[in-house]
Amino acid sequence: MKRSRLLITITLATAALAGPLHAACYADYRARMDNPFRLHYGVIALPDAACSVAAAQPVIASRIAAGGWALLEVVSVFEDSALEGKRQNAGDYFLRF
Amino acid sequence: MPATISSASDARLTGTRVVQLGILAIVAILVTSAIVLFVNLPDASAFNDAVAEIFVQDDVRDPQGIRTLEVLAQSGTVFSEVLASYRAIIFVLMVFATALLVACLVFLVTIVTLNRRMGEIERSGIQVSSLVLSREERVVLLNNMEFKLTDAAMETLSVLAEARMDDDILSGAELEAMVSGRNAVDCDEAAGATRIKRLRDSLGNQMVSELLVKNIARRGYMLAIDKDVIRMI
Repeated sequence: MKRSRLLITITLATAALAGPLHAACYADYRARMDNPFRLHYGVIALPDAACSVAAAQPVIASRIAAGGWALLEVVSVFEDSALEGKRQNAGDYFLRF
Repeated sequence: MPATISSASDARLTGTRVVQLGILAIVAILVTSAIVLFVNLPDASAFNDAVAEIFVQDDVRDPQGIRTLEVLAQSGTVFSEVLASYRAIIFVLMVFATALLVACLVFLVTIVTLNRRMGEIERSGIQVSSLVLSREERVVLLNNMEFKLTDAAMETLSVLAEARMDDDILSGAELEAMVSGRNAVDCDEAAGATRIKRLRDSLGNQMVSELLVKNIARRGYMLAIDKDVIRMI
């Protein structure tokens, strides 16, 4: 009993520590595509090294270019806590790239 | 009067030059404006760019709003096809305008040239606009006025006309040589002068010597008319 509680505590602690480290940084951005003309607002996960609007720009641009999209702007960079609030607006493009 | 004739053809030459330069200028203006027009008219992506700018500036996030923007851009793109047809229409109109400008220029130059020639004609009194020699009938038509000539006078006039067409001036001796078929050194200057005198006599002496059979001092005789107007039949 005591042993298993300890195990759960350790697991939770590990999860609590590992969670933010895994992907603590996200950005929302706007992109366009020509022929046919399309627009989207999306959310993307960023590596910690590129966790600022300026540093995220080339990273996002190269990743969405794979789908034929061109980056218009990076709106903001945020953490886990703000992620859920943007899920509905991003729709299909929530963490897609 | 050779001076009169050469100035009339000078005016025509200047007119041709003005027309050429004018047409070049008009075509250059057309080409420049066509290039400016085609460069400055927005193409299909202009609407898309504008919509993308609205997308960023107005902070549109929800998928429904984005969809609306896409539809907006599509309707703009449809209109851009209309724009392409406008462009063609504008180009056709410009071509028309150029054609009209060219025509105006040509007419203007023609009018100026004609006015100048009219002035020359008024000053010179009688302008020989056609000289037709008919050897068989021994008739010369001067501006459609018919004159009968003797064989000798006809021969003299023909020789003068041929010399005029070659831009030659004949001395009395050369003239006599050509009419009689002998060598010029064997011929007398006075014999040629007599032929000229007889030709002038039969056409009405002094007026003709001023207007038609002209004597150039120390060089000889020539027809004082434009060589384009001579026809031999």
